[in-house]
Amino acid sequence: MAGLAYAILTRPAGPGISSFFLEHSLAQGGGRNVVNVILVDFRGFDTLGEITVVGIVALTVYKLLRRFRPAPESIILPRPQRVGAEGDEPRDPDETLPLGYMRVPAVLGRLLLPVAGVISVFFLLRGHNAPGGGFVGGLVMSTAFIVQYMVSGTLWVESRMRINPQNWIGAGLLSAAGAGAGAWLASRSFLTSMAWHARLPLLGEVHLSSTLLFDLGVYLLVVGATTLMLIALAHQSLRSHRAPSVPHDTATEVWRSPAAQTESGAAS
Amino acid sequence: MNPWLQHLPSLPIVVPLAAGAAMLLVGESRRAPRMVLALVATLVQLAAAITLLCLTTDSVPGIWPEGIGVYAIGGWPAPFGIVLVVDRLSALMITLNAALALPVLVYSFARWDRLGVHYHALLQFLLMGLNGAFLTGDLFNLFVFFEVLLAASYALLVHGGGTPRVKAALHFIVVNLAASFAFLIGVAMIYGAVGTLNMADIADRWPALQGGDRGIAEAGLAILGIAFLVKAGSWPLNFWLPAAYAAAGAPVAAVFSITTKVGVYAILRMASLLEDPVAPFGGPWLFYGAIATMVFGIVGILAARQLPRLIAFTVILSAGTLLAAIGLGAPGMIAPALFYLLGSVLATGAFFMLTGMTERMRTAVPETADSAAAQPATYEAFSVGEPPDLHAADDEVGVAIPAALAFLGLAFVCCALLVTGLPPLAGFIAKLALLSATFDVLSVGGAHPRAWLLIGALLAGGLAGLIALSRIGMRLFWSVTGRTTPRLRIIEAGPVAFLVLLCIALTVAAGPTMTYLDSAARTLREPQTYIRAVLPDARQPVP
Amino acid sequence: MEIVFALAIGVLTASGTWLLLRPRTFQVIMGLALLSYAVNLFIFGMGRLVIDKPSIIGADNATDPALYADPVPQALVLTAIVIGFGTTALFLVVLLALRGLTGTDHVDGHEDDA
Repeated sequence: MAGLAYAILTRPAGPGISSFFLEHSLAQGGGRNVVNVILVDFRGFDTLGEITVVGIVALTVYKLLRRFRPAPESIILPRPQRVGAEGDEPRDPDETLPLGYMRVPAVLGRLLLPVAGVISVFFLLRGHNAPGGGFVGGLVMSTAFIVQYMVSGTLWVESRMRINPQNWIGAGLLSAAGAGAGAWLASRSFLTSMAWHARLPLLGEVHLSSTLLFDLGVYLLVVGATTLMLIALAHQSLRSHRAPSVPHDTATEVWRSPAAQTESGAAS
Repeated sequence: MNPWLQHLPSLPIVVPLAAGAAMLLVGESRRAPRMVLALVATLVQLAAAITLLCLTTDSVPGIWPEGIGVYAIGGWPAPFGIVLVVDRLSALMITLNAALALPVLVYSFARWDRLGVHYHALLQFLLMGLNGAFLTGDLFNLFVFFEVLLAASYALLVHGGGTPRVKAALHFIVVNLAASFAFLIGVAMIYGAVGTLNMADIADRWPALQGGDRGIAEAGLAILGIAFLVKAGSWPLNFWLPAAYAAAGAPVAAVFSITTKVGVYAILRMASLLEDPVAPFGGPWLFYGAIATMVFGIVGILAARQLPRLIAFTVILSAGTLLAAIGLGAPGMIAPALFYLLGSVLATGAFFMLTGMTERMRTAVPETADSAAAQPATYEAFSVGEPPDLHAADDEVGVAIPAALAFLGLAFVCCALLVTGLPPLAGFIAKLALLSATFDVLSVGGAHPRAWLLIGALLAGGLAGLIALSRIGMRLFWSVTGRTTPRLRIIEAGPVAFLVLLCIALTVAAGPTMTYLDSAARTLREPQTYIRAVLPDARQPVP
Repeated sequence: MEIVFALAIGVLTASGTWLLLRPRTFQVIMGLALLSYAVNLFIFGMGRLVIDKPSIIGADNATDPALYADPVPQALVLTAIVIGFGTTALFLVVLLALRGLTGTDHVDGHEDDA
């Protein structure tokens, strides 16, 4: 592999397709960030397939972990929780702030959420002309959501906020596909990008492009998929703390879930 | 041309995507809307595929010159943008896909879609990946659609849960992930040497490559070929296949019978586009590897003791047959190979769905120790927490009369005849066509040892299939011990009957089908037609 | 510069392949991760290594391709990374599920009878 890489790296590149992209990115793609324009415009079809893969993977993770309980001997509670340090009792959903050493991180984490939201939208909107784009924006947003789960606990978060990640995945895919199908109405090929200039009362002149709708679809999907995967894993931590009330039967390798399946297990 | 009709090539990809996404929004709780959505989406795909098939024949002149339709995604011309290319081979494959998808969907309405979540959405995404892989004209786009279809197949493989499935999924994922890396390396090398990703453009620039660039590009093509061979199930990289196909649920395994063929399609496409292909595309490596695959399949067929595993090995055998036919290098082999492809996909699909029904017949302790794994224990295991009426629905419907057994037996016999290639059904015609094409090669005077090897392998395969299937069939249907009368549901029996009847129709209409396939093979032999259709202002090949 | 890059790719591929063939699932996933790094670096390297030429068109709107790095491999790498990350994440969860179901982390689902 090293030899192959060295051989290719030391050869000059011949004429290829990249000059077309560089030349037409600003004029016809409407963006300065050529890589992003390639991703959402020139080769937007690849991106559509790629977000579908991420969506499918998230759904598969959900399928696998939905009625799954990890092996009990693999979940050894960390020492602070075993010792019973203050602040580690199962979080009471009605408590405003957790007790003990998680108090400060919880405050900071909760303040982070709106800030991260703004930053993620900022990244989404600037992607066409500078580093950014739907992926990065989506990841920032989903990180903020997961931080909430980490600092406040699953029960607390889900008693206050119901994110249904599968809806986000579906909405993201439909938005991206819709951006592409909108071109049909203008009797152009699927996923042809179209731009409009609009004059809005407060904001002045705004340049809108259908690739923004496409990028928005990417954003929604990334948020939905990553939160679905991480929330599915978060629920594992809930289940591990409850010993199965009915002894499991290793011969048939069936895990019998206790009658009182955690109520937020049904949330996702 | 009707403005809406011009977007037809994109429909087989956009429709399942939109349907799957809409199903996610509808949610898991309401089953009826999702079933309707799935059915409508699949019917639309079937209609689009058949229309595209008709458009590629010469019966509708003037629409597409030379029967090749090119659709530029995003309005960007090839080779800069991604194009969908509908030629006879692609149209054939997407029609086959839709024709298999419809009965699989109806079959899964019986109970399979309730064993886990998001079944219908995932099935639509799988169809999207398959259609995309068949239609695309861009190498990296092919990779993306391969990944879509692989991701969906991982999901559907673990559908229903249970240790055998998850274990098979682990091996499935590792091998296919490694193959995807090989795919990426190959594509990267080809881009690094040739400078483009469009298949037609690569073929156009290929003859002009010199020296070091040529070496890199050929190496990249070889690595790409290995990736395709892994996905096609070629020996020695196919040890994941029998376990995965045997562990999957019945409708899922039925759809898997076409996912294997995508690798074969990719090899055929690249081999036909490049006039002077390299190993493993056109050289003796492909042929000998394919024969080894066939031998592996034959041994597996004889050794298998459960029906799903046996059918998985017939899938390997059919992949090997197709690759050997392509690898022999004779132009007359392509059309019979395509006919064989059609028959084998439909037959193995029907066969897998049949095993889903026959599994319920066996309740006594079986004679062979490891056929306990074939019991649908996973279904029972996941009834914890499922709505209780799942069992009731299974018990109340169904006809417990000997006619059910007669239907199952007859379907089994038909599928066995199709798969092993015995008269009078389509499998025999396919095998006969392959054998006669091989004899033509012999009479022309080339490749003696290889041609005889292929003939021997073909005949041995038929014999092995006959032996193994008779053995299992007798044990299933004629042994009297511990067998409950099966309860047959129309919604499950219907699709199997549909596929078998489709194969019989293929037998009856073999003439027109072979004419179409001959013209498809002719198109494949003349890559310049394809290249000219995709790149209207292509330069002439450098002499 | 090229030699360092090429050697890095080689080392990552070698270690990734070796780990991929080990019997413990955790080693396999580490191997897959290393292999994905190697492949992504390889794809990125197809654009040839250049310094100080980001593919962002500057304020002067110059579109001469010689002024910028090749954007196509960068876009390909982004797609490949996302797809690779997705599949590796899925593999991780399958690994967890198998661990829970079989109680062992051997790739075959049961310990070798050594």
